[in-house]
Amino acid sequence: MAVRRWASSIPNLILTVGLGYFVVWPLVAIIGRGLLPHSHLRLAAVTDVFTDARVRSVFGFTLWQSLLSTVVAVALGLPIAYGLERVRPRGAGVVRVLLTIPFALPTVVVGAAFIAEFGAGGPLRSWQWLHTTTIIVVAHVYFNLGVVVRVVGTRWREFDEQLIDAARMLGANRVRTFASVTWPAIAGSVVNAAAIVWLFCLTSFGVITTLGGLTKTTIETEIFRLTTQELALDRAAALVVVQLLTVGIVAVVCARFVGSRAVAGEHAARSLVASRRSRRAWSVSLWSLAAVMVLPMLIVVQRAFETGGGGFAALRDSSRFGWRPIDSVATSLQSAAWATLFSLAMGTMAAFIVGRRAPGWRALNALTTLPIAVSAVTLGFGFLIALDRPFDLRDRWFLVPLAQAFVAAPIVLRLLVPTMQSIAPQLREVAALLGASPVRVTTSIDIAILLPALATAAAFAMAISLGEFGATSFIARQNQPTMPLAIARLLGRPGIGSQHAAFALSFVMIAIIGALAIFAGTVQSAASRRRGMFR
Amino acid sequence: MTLTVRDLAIRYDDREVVSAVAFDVGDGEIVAVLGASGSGKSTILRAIAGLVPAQGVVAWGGNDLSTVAAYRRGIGMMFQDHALFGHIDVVGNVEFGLKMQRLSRSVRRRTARELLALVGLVGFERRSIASMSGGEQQRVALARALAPSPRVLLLDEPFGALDRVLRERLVIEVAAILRARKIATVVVTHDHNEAFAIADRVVVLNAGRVEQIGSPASVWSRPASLAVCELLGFAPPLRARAHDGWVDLGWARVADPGSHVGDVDVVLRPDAFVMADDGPLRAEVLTVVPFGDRMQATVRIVGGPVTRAMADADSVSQADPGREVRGSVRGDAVLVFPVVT
Repeated sequence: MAVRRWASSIPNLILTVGLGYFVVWPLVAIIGRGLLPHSHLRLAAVTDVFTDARVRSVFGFTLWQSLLSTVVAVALGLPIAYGLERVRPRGAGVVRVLLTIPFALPTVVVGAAFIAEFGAGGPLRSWQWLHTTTIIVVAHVYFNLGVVVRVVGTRWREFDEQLIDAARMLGANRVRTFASVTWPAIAGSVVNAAAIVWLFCLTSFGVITTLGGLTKTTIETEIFRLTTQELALDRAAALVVVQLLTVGIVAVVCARFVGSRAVAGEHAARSLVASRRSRRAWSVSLWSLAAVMVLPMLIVVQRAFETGGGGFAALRDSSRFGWRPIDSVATSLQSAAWATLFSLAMGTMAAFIVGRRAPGWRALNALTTLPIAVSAVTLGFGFLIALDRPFDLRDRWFLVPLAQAFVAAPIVLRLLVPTMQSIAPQLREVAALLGASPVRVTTSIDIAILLPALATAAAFAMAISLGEFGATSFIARQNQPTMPLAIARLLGRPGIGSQHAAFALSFVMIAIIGALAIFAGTVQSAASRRRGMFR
Repeated sequence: MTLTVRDLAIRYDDREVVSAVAFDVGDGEIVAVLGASGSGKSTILRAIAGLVPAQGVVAWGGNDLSTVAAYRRGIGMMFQDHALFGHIDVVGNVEFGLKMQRLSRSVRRRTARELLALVGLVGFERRSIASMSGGEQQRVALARALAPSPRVLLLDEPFGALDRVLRERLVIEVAAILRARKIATVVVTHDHNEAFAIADRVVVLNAGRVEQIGSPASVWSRPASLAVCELLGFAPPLRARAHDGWVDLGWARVADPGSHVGDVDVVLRPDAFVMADDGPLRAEVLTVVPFGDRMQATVRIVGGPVTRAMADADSVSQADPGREVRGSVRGDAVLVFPVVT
């Protein structure tokens, strides 16, 4: 027992120290800087921010666009979840996958795709959506529809259709049946999904940067602007504090709602008995929706090859931009490879502690989630203002991969823990009784069973690191942009030529992420086939 | 008043799963629909309820219900897994239907209390569904179905999820409650014991068609077909030849009141072999289950099949496994069916 405790407390110590220095300390530094701008406490520093009309409007717009995006995403996601999980027309599985693809794409790539579709030279340029609230909301919905469909759909799929029959047999009409039986069962998941979407839209950075133009700015882009253009670090820090408070309040409120909802029905559900006509209608609408979702990706690829592949030629041309956009591919891959390694190391160590409910697992779980909870921009800004003490790390090569790893690690942890917990303790006991030492038990049972999950986690970590934009924006070296930074920079430049280069680079990213997705899919299906053998 | 089902036909994706089903359920009568899984019995129930579209007539007291929506039919239903609402407590479940009728709170409370007393759950009002045992949940489901005073009650495998001892007890209790309240009831089940225990009449279903309708006693003693025999758990059929009013089984010859000619299928009812020391047949005892001063045995008739046998303990000397006993076959317990080609 004593050995066990030591075995889990060493990684716990490493993780706590690491997260403490790279995540908690920068946060403390930001809050300190925001509240104590000249080394004396001024709570007013935060309220002072609001005397600035620009900040007030930015704050207002952040709330407005995020709320609107959330409402639209949920309103659209509910019927889709219903169609996919209850009506289940032919091809529902494929549509479900297509809907979740955007979530795996880098925000900047989606921004580029929307510019390809709605911007100059795009097929829908006449709609004049660029730099409007509409396109921001549409992009946010595009990203988060899959989240709503997944989160609500999972709950809805488990929902026992017999309960609806029961209510109807007791005299409830459709409306009352929904209100008294269906809604209570899915409400928790709806609030949960809305919370995720809202937090995503509140802290959205890549979408706003690429699609918002100069007028549509949010707290996140304002922090970036204050930091990089006005060098007003104190005001940026105060704004981060405002952002943290907003996110915190939203998270707490939503958590209360989710917690208070009871869950109904745990029986295997039947699919709805729908008439063939309505099933076909559902099938047609869902497939059209999937087509609309895939369209921007097709357009950006098509436009990358426009003008005889001029976009790709421009990638190799250093005279045009002063740097070669193609170099960002190598920079990104290198950085993402390190980030994957870091996040796998962090995630695996954390999974052993969280998955086994070892002492301190709750704190560690929260600490690991902190970087994505506070937003990547905050993380990057924190690195920038805090990591000069005790050593100045701000110019070290590992800083970018490390920041990306912190963003990816929570996902790695969440992918590993369920597998970790699915390992029956008897397997470990049998191995021990057969003569395996504790170390051998870990390697021959835990690691062996975790391997497919680790491969999937690696693919996810790689994809997240490649697409990471918020934190990287603050800390990447000016002359060594990663792919998302290069795309954003190219999109920010005037001229259709640089846009084509951005589309070409987006195509490269889509190809890499697509390959990673196929890899993850193959590993998972192979693993589930193998698991099936033992059942 | 009577629930009438006529020419009921239900299609799923061009496949007719229920065809030409017709039966009546009188006031206070309990009718069991007995069928194997996939025979369409639950579908019939859902069609009566109005939960699936169907062709044909479902009528109550002569009024066609086909155009009446499920929630207005005034039919109560108990579901296989009870389908209780987990997000509301026991009394909330029982009151649900009363709420839909927009009855006042005091009326609802009074009715709910009455029904909970009826099913023996006084004091359980505020309990959560999840905290109750399977049998208790079953009673809540019954109380909930009865609360809006339905004219017809449909029970879909109501005891299926319960263990045997509990099931046997609840079948008796539920039957008593239904009889006392004089509700026309249709029970769907795959278990013939359950059907016989609860029902006044049994509708036997096979592949979506009615195979036989009758009292439990008549269905058991005169099954209409091999399919019915199988549902009742009778031994598998034996192939034999019939001629001149006799059936030749090889190891015995029995009278054939049906006067078949040629190949026939013969099923021995469980009561066909009677142990008697002076019987003409010899049989080897395989298993013995004591039953008071009688016993139930499984025997292999010499030269013939394995069959069940019943005997007074003192009429047969020492029927232990491995021993040989003597006995005879009761002609009226031998069921003869023409071979369908």
